[in-house]
Amino acid sequence: MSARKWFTVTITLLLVVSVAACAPAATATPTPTGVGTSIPATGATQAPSAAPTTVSAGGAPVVINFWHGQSQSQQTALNALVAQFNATHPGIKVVATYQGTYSDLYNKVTAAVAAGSPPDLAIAYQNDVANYIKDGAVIPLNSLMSDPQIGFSSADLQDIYPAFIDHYPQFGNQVYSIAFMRSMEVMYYNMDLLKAAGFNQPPTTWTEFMNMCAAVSKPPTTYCYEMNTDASRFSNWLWSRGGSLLSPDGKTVAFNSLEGLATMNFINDLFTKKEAIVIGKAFQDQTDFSLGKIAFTFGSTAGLPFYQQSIQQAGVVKDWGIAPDPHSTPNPVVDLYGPSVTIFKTTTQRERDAFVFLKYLMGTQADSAWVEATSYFPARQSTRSSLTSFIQANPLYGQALGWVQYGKTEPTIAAWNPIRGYIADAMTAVANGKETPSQALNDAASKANQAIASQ
Amino acid sequence: MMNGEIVPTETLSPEQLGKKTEVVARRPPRRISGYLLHLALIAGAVWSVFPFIWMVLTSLKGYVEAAASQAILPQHWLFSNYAAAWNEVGMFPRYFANTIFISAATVLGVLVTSTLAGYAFARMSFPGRNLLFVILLATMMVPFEVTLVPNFILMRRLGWIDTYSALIIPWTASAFSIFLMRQFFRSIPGELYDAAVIDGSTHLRFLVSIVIPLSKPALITSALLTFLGSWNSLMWPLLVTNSPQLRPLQVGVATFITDAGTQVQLLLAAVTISVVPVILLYLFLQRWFIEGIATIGIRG
Repeated sequence: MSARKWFTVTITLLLVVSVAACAPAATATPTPTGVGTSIPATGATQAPSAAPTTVSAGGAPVVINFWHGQSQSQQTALNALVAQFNATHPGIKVVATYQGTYSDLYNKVTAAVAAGSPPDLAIAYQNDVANYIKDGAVIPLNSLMSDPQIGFSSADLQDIYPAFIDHYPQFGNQVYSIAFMRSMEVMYYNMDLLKAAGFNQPPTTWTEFMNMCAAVSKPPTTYCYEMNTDASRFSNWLWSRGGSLLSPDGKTVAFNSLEGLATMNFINDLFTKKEAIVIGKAFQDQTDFSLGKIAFTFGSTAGLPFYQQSIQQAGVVKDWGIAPDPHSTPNPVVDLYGPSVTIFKTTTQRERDAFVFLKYLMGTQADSAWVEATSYFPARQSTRSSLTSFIQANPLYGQALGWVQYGKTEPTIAAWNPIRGYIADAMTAVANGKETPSQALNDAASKANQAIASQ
Repeated sequence: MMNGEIVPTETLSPEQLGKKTEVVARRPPRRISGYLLHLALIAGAVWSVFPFIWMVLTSLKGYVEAAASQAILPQHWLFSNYAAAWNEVGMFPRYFANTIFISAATVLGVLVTSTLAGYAFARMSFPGRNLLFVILLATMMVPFEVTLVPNFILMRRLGWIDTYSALIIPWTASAFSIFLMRQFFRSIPGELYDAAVIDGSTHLRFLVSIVIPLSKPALITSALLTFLGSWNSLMWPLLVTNSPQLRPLQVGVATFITDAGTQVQLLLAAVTISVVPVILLYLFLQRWFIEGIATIGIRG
């Protein structure tokens, strides 16, 4: 073929492709709707169990867009919940869309808000929600929660764990997000190593923990702890010593306290005595724990399936378990973390429809199904009764479920994300011996206060 | 002697001996430098290829071994990881089809726009040509992240959200490819154009009949680089699409990354599946690719 013919063919193909590309995919989801395109509802405000809740002018259900970051098996479970909701609520059609990691999701929501086309609901970390509040993009949920027709009853509110309802002190302490997925910070322990060192149970106090560390550490083959540096570790260690992250009004940090210093001294001691190492790559602590190289790790219960798989494949560790972090407080403290669901400012009716779906996710039936599919903790205390067989099959999960009552959540301020970075940097500086505990702590606190002031 | 062959010294005259000694004395360093050069090239090649070898071998390991073992070779070769990764994503065939379509269409668009614009900048005289070219180059300095939100807003206003248009059309013009083509076109002798004009040729005729056939290496280089960028794209497709049916391969690969842990072996199996077509394409076109890069490097 001559060059001229090649050129003609190329141009023709390009035109064909351009025309084809302009058409939406044949199987694309229904029109994404935002502020400007929402369809007025006609039959609003019935109880969520009644159907239909809303119907568009043309009789088609109102499409409610729900953006999330759940992939693979979690996405399958979430889609099943959505399908069940859609089947029982003919007036609303929820379209759940995977938007990548939580970071990707945040970027997309930010762009969509700027373009005036936010989703109706999205999963977001609390500090991201705080940024959405600042942009005026999301709505407070208090009035919807107390709405006589679609809101929570007082029995509902007593049943739902307080740690699943996010208050924002910087914004009138109103509720802007509610969680249906929470995991928990726990301590993983290798009982084989503890028994070999003469201990019969995991530590419950920090003094016991340090004694056990001294007994089990045999560098360079065995270490007490492998630090996966993260502000959630620091938060839980601080709380378990009676400390606080923020002042009561949320305007300054409070971790530069005696409890904070004790936490940094704890890190310093572990590394000075060569009883701890820092992870070399993501999740290496899980792997090293399964190979019997580490006596303790601290991390999320969401990692349980990975620990179980790893320990089973490696076949080295026979006796292991999880426990709340050692503590000097009367009761244990566990960091209950995970993203929540927030509702974006659209139209009153769409916001109500979105809340109907959110309330459905918080219902006992959905709560139970979601727990069994994901091993997250239920939002409701009453869900436990329907999890008997699941708990029997997953005894470690059942154990942790008993600690939800001790749950605390990390601050819901917009500056929390950078502050998490400052805390992690301080932990690393102490572990590497580059800064003293008090230097690192004060440095992090100073930067954190600046971050709060600038928000 | 003329070709540098080694001649026994006893057969040479003293004059010749003097010259030959000089030649022989120079040869070992040249040979050593040749060895060193090849050694460096081999090291560079191993350095470049090693990540791919590591990726494939790790994708065949078990979960713990993939995460912990320092050994290169798998203890047990788990080819089943590929089936597991394929099944885990679920929509791999659709993602593949989308990626191939999007990449091919983008390449096609880039070739047409770069050829036309590159030719104009290289061969045509018009007021402000150099200024326009500098502005074009300056656009390469603007980070992708900065333009993300404005581009998203533009896509929304055009009604292109959740369509192939948003995935293809914004990427069918590339400042780098225009620069590449312009540099290559400038290396084509001007006498060819003069001769073509004498024969009654227009710019378009000259471009199609003379310039494009001579520019195969540059076109292939531009096509490969565009294809690679389009094939690996993740953030933009996530941003402008909502329907799984429109999403490309990298979205499927990204689903293996979670906050709680990562099945490294399955992730790498998915990555291997996704890069095989690109590697095959490169192997098929590498001669022209290298020629294109070399030519532009010399003449630019």
